[in-house]
Amino acid sequence: MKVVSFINYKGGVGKSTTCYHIGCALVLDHGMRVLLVDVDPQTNLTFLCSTYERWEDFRTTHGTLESLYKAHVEDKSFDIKNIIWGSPIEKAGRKVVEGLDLIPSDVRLLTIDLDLQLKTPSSNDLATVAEHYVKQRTILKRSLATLEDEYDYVLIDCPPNLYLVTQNALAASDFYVVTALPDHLSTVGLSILEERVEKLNKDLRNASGIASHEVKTPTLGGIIFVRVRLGGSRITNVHDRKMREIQREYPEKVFDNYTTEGIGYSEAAERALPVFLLSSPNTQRVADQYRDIAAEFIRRIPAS
Amino acid sequence: MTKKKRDPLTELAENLSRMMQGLPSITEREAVVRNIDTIIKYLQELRDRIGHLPTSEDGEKLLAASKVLVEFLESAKKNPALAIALGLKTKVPPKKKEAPISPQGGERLFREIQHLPTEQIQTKLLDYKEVTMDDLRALATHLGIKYEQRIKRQELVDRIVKIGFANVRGYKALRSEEESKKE
Repeated sequence: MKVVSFINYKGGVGKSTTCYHIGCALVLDHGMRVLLVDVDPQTNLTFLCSTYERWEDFRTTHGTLESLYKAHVEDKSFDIKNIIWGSPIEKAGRKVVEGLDLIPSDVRLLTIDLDLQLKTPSSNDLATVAEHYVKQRTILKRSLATLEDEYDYVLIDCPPNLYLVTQNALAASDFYVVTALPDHLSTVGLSILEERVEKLNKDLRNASGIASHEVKTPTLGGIIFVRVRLGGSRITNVHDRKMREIQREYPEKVFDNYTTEGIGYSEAAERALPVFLLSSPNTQRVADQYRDIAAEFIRRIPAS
Repeated sequence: MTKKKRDPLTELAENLSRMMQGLPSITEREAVVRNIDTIIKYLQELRDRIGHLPTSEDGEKLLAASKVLVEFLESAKKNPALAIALGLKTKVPPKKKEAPISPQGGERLFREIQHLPTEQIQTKLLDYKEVTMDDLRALATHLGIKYEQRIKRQELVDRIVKIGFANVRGYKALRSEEESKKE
């Protein structure tokens, strides 16, 4: 099982859409078993998979990711399997992406970060503080470990921050993938993000060393460009220049495949269906691009 | 007075001289030859045309062939594919006009289902005995949802339920959740 976080400092750069479509393509085109985990309180990934009412029903009867963290804050045990929503994507009441499951998010995750921060260690000695530090950041990791044989990939959609819930996602991951638009504002934070993740990795490794735990930390699995602007059949100058710049800065890390600007995404989002299951020319164009990205994703990050 | 007898040689020379005056020039002779060629050509054409004139026997054969042709074309008109291939005009049966989708029908169906839970709306709209495709199209039109003419029921129902009801309800529910938090 490979765990991959989709992350960027900036919002609106296609994290959820990319995570969702790669997940769907891995299932539909490659027969993989995939678990999507939405750790973003904006719940975009959740609502790409389901409508509000069905999510509300699931939240009431099963819980959401918030339930996992709430149980930790309240020192209660929790089985992550309770909040796995099996094949949530439906078309007119019929499950259409069998093999793709979801741990849905919740707007209440916004406050969980604060609750986690407020939970303090039982004493101030170094080992206890280190133990607490590691435990606070490995809640998701420990839970996902129980699913090792259930899935080929776990794809985590992160919010545009590096608070504790996001740190949990990173600590649970083998790799992190960055999505970005090839423009100045979207890429300006790439190096900062990489530095910050490296610092978090270092802190976690140090704390786990003191607390005598063994933790693996994630490495950069790749950068995927989305909504690349075309002028005719060619990439516009500004985007082309920026893509080349990032390729030089991160050799071997930039995906060869990318998505282009268009309206196929919103059409699919409105229907809570992946572009692969819609038939308009707009969605088909995007679907082909995501198929290529997913195929490259498997090559770069094999399941085992 | 006696008539002076003319010298035969002189007479010959005079005759020759008169004759010489009556001879055509080279140009005149060529023009005559050209005219004769034209006359020959005309006569040849005339001969060919007369040779090709139909006789009364030919006329009878032509009449019989025309009758066969008329019968063939009449029978061809009854076969649409053959008629089209031969470029014949056929009487196309008037196309059945699709029943116009009445906006009232869409509005009426909307009023009928708008208070149902979303899942029940979906179940009802999927039931082909209860709701026809025309009803679904009318409802989609009423809700401002676009669809292709050849859309399948499941596809159209999914579109209507999600865009026309579920998303709107979700938006309202989230908004009221936020407002209750503020209070």
